[in-house]
Amino acid sequence: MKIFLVGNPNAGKTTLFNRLTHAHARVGNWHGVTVGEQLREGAFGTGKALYVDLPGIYTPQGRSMEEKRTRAALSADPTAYVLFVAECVTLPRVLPLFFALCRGRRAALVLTKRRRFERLGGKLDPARISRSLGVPVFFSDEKGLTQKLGVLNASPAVGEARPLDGYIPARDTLSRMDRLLMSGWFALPFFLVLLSAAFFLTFFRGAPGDMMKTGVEALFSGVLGGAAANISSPVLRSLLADGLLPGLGTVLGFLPQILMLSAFLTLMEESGLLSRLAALTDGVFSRVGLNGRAVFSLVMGFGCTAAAILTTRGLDDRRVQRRTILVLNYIPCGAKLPVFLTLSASFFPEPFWGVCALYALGVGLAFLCAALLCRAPRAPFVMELAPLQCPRPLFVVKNLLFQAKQFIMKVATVILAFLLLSWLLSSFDWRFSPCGAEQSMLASVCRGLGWLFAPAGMNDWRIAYAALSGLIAKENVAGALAMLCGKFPYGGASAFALAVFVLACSPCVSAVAAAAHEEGVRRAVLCALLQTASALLLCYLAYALARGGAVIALLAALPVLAFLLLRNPYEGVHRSRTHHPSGIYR
Amino acid sequence: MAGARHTPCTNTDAFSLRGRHNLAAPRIFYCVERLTAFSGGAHIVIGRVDAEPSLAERLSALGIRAGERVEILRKSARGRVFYVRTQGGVTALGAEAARTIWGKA
Repeated sequence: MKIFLVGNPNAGKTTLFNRLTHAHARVGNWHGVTVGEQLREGAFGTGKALYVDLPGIYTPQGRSMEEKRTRAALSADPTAYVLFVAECVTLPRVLPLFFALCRGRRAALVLTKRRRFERLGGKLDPARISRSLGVPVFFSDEKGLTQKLGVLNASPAVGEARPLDGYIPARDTLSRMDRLLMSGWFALPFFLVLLSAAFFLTFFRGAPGDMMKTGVEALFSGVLGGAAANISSPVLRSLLADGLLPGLGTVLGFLPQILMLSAFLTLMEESGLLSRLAALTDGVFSRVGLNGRAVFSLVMGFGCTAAAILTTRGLDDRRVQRRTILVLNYIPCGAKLPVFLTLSASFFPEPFWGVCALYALGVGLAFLCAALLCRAPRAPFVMELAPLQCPRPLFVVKNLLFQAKQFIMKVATVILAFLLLSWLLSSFDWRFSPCGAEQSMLASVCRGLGWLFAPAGMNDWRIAYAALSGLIAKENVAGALAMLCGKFPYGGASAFALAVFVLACSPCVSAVAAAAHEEGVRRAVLCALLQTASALLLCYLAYALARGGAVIALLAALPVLAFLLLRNPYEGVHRSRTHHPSGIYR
Repeated sequence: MAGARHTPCTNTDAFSLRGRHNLAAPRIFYCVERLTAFSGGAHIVIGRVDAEPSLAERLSALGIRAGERVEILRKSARGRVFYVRTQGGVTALGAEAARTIWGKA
């Protein structure tokens, strides 16, 4: 027996799914967190059923990829039961959708966010609502819900639409904070202060993030490194002291800072601030052909590009989705953070400013890319604001633990395997005799790549190998640099150039795979190749700029600036204001 | 009253609004204006939504449809975003979407 969970976005479907099946699917206070089907078996009545959590849907003829997916799933199985999940506050509004989707099926109504509804002065009687609509009605937080749902087996199919009885709507009052966040004069500085505080606490020397990073590094280099130095076997000692520990220590050392940044993003999403940010930034985004709703994907991109690409399914407009996927590649993800922190110490005395500069550059490149691509008009911006709420500490902690687990698993598998292979290839020659790095197998294979970064002052195969290893996973860059070079051997200008390359380069294979899933393999691979090539050019430009070549940088930037200025930024964005069927116009 | 600029209704094609479920009610002709003409704090009754079907459906699903009462909470400084309180929630509308909505204070 299959049971679909359907309803408006942010109604609480995934929370209910987690409750019914004891799963840990991702939830959030944002319309569009769930982007695909999630299936899991759970208790139903006296037996079991397969619960299917579907993305949220507003209308039966929804245009976004998620809504089409939900419709397709429902059409594919007309005999499956349906649990229609609705917020108590919006129940009258969603009843037309309920009857449109569930007519002819066995369905039940599950009401969520009861406490918020009662706090706002609303009242409802589930028994009366059930009698008036002709369907079973439950609250999502009821005890023994899985047993009670068994009544679906005996209930009749949903009929024609009926009026609602037993419902007194809530007094919809807005808090002062809500009203303040609608004002651009307050909201913009507020978000800037929040962002600055997050970066300061994470990256500034002596701040909590930096102190935790120092602690982890001390653990690896001091404690574990000291223990490795006492190992008798020279091969094992080399593997640990020269190979794995420097690489792993460098990457894992940044885990506290990655988690702090993730905590900030989670708090933004859980509190409902993200939807306010989307509305605030829609004006700016529209000038580059994006949509305010894309802000969720862009903010997710600061965590993981692959996950962010998946969230673009919630965008109605296919063109905006494609543009968002392209610009996501320039948003610095969490995996690039170890590289930035490693390199920024060479060109900025205080790493905080170096990281801020690189993040700002990444966002600037993203907007530039979107502006260059802006051709066709985009769909009008319509977005329901998620309610403002105090973030639940348990939810934030669970999210962080999940992220930490994902990161550690990635380090323990992909990064460890890469470091092991790199150590093997850089410590032995073709006859498997121990040798120095310059005589190793890796050097003989990669020596021909040294020219790639020669215009950036780094005619060094180790740098080329480390930079290109980022195509597998960005953390590999920091790990490989630590293992092969130790301290970065070149000056600040080269460090800056390499950081720009890593920033602008194609994302890792996971992100390319996610893009291929959304846009097609050919397009994704072509974009990855073009992006890597353009990243090399940007790297050379950054080196020239850092060496004082402002004239060269200006000359290179002039064509781009001319294109942007001479082209009408509003072409196609505004509809004609002159025609109206009745002749009334403004 | 906070809200619309007063425009003399000279258009013979003015929209008519009846009680939603009362067909016997007398027809009353109103002059409707675009949502973008109203300022923050205005309470309006929506006359019609002049948008392509998919956008009209999305707006209808959010409670913005003919006959509904909504409140314009705020209009951004350059009129690019409109915050509208509907039944059960607050919806942010871009200028393009707001221009398709016609109502009367």
